[in-house]
Amino acid sequence: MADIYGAITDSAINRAIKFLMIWRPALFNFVAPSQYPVFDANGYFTGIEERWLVCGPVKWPPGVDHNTFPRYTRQDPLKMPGVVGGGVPFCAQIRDAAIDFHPSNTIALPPELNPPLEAQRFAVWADVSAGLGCPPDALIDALLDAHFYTHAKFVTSPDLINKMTLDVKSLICFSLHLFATGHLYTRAQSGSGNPSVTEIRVALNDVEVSDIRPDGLEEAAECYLRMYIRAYVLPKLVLALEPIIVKALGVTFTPTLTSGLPNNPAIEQNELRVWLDVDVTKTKTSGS
Amino acid sequence: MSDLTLKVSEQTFGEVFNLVYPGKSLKFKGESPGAKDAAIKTSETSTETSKSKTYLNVTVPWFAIDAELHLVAANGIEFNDGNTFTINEIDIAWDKLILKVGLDIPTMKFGGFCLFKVPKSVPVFGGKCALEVPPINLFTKTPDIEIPLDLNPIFKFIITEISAICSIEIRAENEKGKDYWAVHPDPIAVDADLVDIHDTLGQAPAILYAAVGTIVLNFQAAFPATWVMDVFLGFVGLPTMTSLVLDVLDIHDDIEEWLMKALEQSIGIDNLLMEVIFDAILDGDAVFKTPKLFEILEEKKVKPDELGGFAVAAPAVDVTLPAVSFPVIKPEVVFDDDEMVLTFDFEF
Repeated sequence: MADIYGAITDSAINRAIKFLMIWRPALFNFVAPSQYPVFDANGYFTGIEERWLVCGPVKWPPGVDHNTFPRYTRQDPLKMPGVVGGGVPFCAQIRDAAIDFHPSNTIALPPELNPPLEAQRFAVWADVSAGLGCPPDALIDALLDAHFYTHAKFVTSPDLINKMTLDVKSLICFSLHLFATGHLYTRAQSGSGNPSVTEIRVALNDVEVSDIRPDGLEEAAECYLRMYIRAYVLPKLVLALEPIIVKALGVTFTPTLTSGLPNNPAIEQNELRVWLDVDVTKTKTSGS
Repeated sequence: MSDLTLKVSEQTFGEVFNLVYPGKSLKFKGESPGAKDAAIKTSETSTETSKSKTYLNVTVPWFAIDAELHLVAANGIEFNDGNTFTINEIDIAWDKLILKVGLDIPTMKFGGFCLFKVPKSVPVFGGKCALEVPPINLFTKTPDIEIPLDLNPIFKFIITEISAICSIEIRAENEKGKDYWAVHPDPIAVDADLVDIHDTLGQAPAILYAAVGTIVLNFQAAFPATWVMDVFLGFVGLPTMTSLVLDVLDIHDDIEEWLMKALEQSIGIDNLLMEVIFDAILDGDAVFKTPKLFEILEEKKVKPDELGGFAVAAPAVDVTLPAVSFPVIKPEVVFDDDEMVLTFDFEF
């Protein structure tokens, strides 16, 4: 028998996600704002202002100071060949998300992911809104001319044009549904870590972005998404079984995964479950 | 289905219990007032013409205890049906055990009589008293005899058997301004037995005699002369003052048995142990705690140029994002098989 068993339901995690979406919206809303020059009454350039353009409205959580509580995380604008100026403004917003532990009863997997969800697997779904700024022709012309424009009223230096994100007043928005399936695995801590410490890690099985045409474009988008998740997201989703100090009790738990179980950790019965053997010791205090 | 389920095995529960509970020094005192007007016969003499019995009217000795102990470990914790658990064999360590034995003998007048009369046939002095025992008042103090017995040397030979049955309850607590759900053992019954004293090194008699000897020295100083004391001892029929004290206290050969009787029957140390351990568990620390408000993201300071979406222009100084917490509700704890099961819900 394991010393300690812990389990959390997928519905609890989903409610936590929705809670975080309200209380830390900046974690789910990424914006590269458009920028525009500001002039005084005499037409002299005074500075740069920003437009934080989004596809879906984002409310402030109740009770916070709107002047000091952020709703978005800044992103660098998109830079592509042929784009004049400092880059293209865009936004990417996760409007809703959910996780589903086996057996699947929350997320309807698309046919491409071969439903039903396999044993010991989880599914993730996200409703993503994205938008891209498209500058009008007049702005492009003005920007092209500005490279040769030396009137002091407009710019302090021609280089400033290249640094400002394109001045657009709206985004071209679209929505996507992202699906992914994955499972958990364990391995010994590597690199500069302690090889006697076990890590619980997340592996990606498959990804599907719905409703992109043609198929080749969808496949390319899914390839990029798979690369992004594996390179950027999954390395952050690591739980190392290191000693846990419970200050309130003055004890330290040093956990290891209980051996001899068919799956540990396990994804089953709509729960993420883990069985641990622990070494319980008195927490050493400084000077003792 | 609860949002979060935690199960703890009997063994791990016991390990945490033994880390959280032991070590605290538990002090307690007890006293047995004794009964009044018990007559203890000390001697019986007879002469050709008369018989006399001498009694010392004393109160039955009173006992007092000044003790300090701490819990060492609980061995064999078992979860029971009905949501209780049993702690078998609680080991205790005595840090201090001083037994005081006291005697309060009513003041008695002794002496004022002639010990040796000159025979009448002797001219001049015949019939007069050659040696008079001066009148003195004995046993004037309260208590007259108080013997402190420091039982420190025989601690390890004091055998106790202590067990407890506890239920589990969850209490709302506040510590340093933070609210917690705390899981506490709630004692239902404690059984404590002072089983035996195995003084295999034989130190108990030495302790006792040394203590009595010290007291006797002080006592003897009250007599006007040694020979008067000897007369008194002859009167009560005992060879020494030490013998008097031991006889009055009913201490004979088996010191360990006398100690056991004093501690168990006179002091009622079993009841005192039960009370102190019951209170120690009741007032003890929690074996598990969780904050009532669970923080999933801590407060964070960020540079305003990394963020946007403010109602006005971005602030000029760093922005503090408040911690994100949610209430932990509906805590429940039950025993299931050999596990303690804790469940919680989150209020989002």
